[in-house]
Amino acid sequence: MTAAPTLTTDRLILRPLKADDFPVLADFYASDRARFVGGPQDADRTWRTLATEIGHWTLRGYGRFGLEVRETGAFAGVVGPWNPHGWPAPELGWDLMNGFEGHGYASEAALATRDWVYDTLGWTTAISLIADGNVGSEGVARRLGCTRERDYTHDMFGKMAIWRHPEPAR
Amino acid sequence: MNAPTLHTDRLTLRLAEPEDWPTYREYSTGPRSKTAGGPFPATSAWHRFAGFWGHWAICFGRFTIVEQATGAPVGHVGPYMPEGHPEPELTWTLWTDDAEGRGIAFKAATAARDWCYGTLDWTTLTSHIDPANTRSAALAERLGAHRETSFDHDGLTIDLYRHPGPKP
Repeated sequence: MTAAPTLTTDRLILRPLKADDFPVLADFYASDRARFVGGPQDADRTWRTLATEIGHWTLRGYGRFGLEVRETGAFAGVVGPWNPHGWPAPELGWDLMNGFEGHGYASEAALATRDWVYDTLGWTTAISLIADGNVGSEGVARRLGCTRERDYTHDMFGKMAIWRHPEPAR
Repeated sequence: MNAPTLHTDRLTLRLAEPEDWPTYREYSTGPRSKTAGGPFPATSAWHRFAGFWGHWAICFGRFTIVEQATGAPVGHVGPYMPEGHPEPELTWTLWTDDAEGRGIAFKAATAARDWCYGTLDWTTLTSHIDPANTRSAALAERLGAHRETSFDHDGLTIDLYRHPGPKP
């Protein structure tokens, strides 16, 4: 099994997802806020989602991190590289759990994982898939310097747009 | 927890490996997965496949069955307890037609059940079986399990089998 390393930023810790994250993840996926990432879905499905997130690390050698607020230890999101079978290209994703919006956590965490995939994994580019109407996530993409590249329709997740990240700094 | 590796005379039960994907994909996208809710699109099969590692990271999980003679992965077996399951279930699945009829599922399920009882100290196990899956029902009975009740799952009636407990 491949497990996530731990990364730290000013306010956040990015560490492996774990069983204790499940209740908060289930609450997010059951809510209307999950409508842009394949939800809302019930707890049974979210349990499988968590298992898939963890297994992604073994199958790809990378995957998404659990995002923790350093000051409180609260589990606040799922962020990082994602590239399951059938994905158009390796992407960076960011999902904030309920109640953690509006602090800039998604941007701070996504930037740390972008540095990690560029510096440690050697990626030379990255995309982010953002569902139509997900204005909050589009704001994060703009703050990260991304540009909207084209429309994309996924067989499971519907209509989205591909956003392109800036390349690694030389 | 970390998955151990178990052995019978002809089989090895081990943690899934990324190399199992082509065979698992054939199974999951093909007619053999019908009794498990399939066939699934490959994208969804991959999500399910990744779930093998996640299940172990969360608690315990299922093993890939490998035939020692060929080294080929031929199925998965072991304790399964996703959210919503009232108690752990022992499952067995053969991925290829070729693996049928040779006692593989029986041997693998017996070894996995012995491990649950001997190492995890469990005292009981269930198996959920679609009544249309007569081969699996026959295997449950060979394993000494009996049909305890039925329940509704996604509009299907599923039989719940109860396994005999650990030998005293």
